[in-house]
Amino acid sequence: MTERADLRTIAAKLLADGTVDVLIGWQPGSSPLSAAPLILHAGSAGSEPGQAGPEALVFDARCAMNLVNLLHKFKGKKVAIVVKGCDARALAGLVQERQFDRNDLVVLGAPCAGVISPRALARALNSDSPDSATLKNDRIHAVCGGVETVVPLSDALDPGCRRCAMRNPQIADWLVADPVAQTDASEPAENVEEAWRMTRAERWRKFRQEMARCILCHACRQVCPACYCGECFADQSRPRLAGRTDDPADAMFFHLLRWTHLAGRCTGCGACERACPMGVDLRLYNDFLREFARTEYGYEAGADAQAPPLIGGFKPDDPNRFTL
Amino acid sequence: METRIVPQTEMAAFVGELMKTARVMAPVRRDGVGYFEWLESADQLDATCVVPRSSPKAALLPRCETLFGWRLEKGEQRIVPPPEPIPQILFGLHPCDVRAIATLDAVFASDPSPDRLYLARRAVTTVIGRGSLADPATAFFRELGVDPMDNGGCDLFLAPLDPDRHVLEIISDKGRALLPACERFPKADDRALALLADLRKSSAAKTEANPGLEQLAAKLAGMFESDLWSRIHEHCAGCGVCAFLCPTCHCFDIQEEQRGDRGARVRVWDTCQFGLFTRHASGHNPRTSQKERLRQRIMHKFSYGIEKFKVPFCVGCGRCVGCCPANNDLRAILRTIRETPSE
Repeated sequence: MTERADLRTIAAKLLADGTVDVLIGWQPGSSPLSAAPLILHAGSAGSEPGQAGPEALVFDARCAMNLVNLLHKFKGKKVAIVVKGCDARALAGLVQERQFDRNDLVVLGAPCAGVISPRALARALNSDSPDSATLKNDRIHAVCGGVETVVPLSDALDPGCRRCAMRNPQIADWLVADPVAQTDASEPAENVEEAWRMTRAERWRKFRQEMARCILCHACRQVCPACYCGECFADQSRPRLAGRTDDPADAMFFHLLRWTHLAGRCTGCGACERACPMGVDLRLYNDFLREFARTEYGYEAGADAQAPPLIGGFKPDDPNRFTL
Repeated sequence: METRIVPQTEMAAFVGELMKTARVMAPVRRDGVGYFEWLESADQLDATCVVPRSSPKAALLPRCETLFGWRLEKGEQRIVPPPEPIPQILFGLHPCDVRAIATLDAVFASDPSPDRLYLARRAVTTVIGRGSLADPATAFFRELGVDPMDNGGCDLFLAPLDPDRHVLEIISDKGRALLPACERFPKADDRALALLADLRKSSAAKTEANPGLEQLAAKLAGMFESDLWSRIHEHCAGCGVCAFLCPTCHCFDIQEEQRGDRGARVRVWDTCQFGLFTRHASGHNPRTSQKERLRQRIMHKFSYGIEKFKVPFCVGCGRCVGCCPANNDLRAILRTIRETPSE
């Protein structure tokens, strides 16, 4: 049973009455239109100088990072976590993969109409370093190089958010805001359709161009809730598996292998693309994976925490058209 | 010092002239985001970009650099020296990025093992700085004593007068070598130079004259076991965005690349933020968690760097502040360090 609660009140209560050891949420960030994770420990929340307490928690379009990624640091503890619809899918995936016991988690669901993507914001403002930017009534008021610009929030939203079909978290113990209207995402993703319309040579050129931008900083992997291997293949050094040169082949190898591991597991939260400093179009390839899982196996990653994972299940009527 | 007036509208033409003499790295803009890149044509230049997201260090310490190559010839192994560096111009560097080059110089020229490859590249590099009258929201170079109108370390410097004009200052011999590309511009008159002097005065007044970095280094030296580190790493994702965008981070890994009967030993960017960075051949890793790794990053920048080279390994450009996926703000970390009572 999901009940409506005020974010700060419920957070303070959960920490005070010993229900959880740790609470993970968002606080306003330090750069324009950003939010930062806020990690509160029971017993010490707000007690250190300069350290915020539950009253600092916020949820709005700035809260872009997928906090489920941080859960891995608190294994074995009782944790309350604020999740958007997409984060909740990632969390469901981890429960499916037996990474967390649902009973150890208190899920504070934050219905979400979309989050700001730094990439979309930079495109809308033609700048990634506004002097200031604020969000008021679904409009972004930014000052870039002394010139004021106003753009609709929708222009700065992550493209994935525009067609998100799970805006209201599917698994939540509490809802910290009123549910928002869902969109119908039965149509295939536009970016994937567009890529399929390209010739093979055009697709290869696009892929090569995207991969040539990658500097192998591993931000995509590090912010991904589904990337939790104790040792990533890219970090194996005895013997070394992945190269780190500027030959695009090394970036291709890293990303292709990572995508192989994410097939049927990526929930399309977009955290990787928002974290990428080089503007690599990671969403396109993630959407490919999700589209494949959907059309070939009727599987939506993270939609059902009780279901077996796609890779861990078998249906007699699987088409088997896609074999690696 | 010789000075000229460069109209903003002539900036791309200026770069075009420079490109006739050397390869040029300059700010470009893609999807609204500024990056330092090697130009293919002068019209790629974005002359409004203050601190591009990627730093110009790639021109001096490429993401991947061949130390030497080898090939098998009739069963004999032959060593192939790395290619000679070609003359290069770094255009439009913010004074904080110029300061970063001085930091890299200090590291790579230091005894007992000056870095031959770095120094060879540095010797054929001309630095054209560009001052700025407005500070990006995420930057904190003034706190570290970097004045965005300072031309120190530059061969040429473009000092902004207003949105339409820069004073071009021709500073060094390398700068004077580019005179043919500068002569198209009129000499700066006394009025322009007086205006520039005023702008410099007010910029200097806003810059911290005594950033207290030695005190910070000394304090940090006693904070290795502080509780602080357990707190600030919690939301760090452990990626390399901060280090790879940083204009002063210079750590690298050395790897072997082989294809058939030829190969190369290369050095590639690495960072203390990666777990693999300190993993020994035995499998032991002295830095087991992000706590130790983030501490190393802060210590290296603000303690070890200052102790050993008398300069901080941070110039306050703010790239790591703006691009950290977890918004783990270095300015806030520094504030917390300064506010933590000494033990």
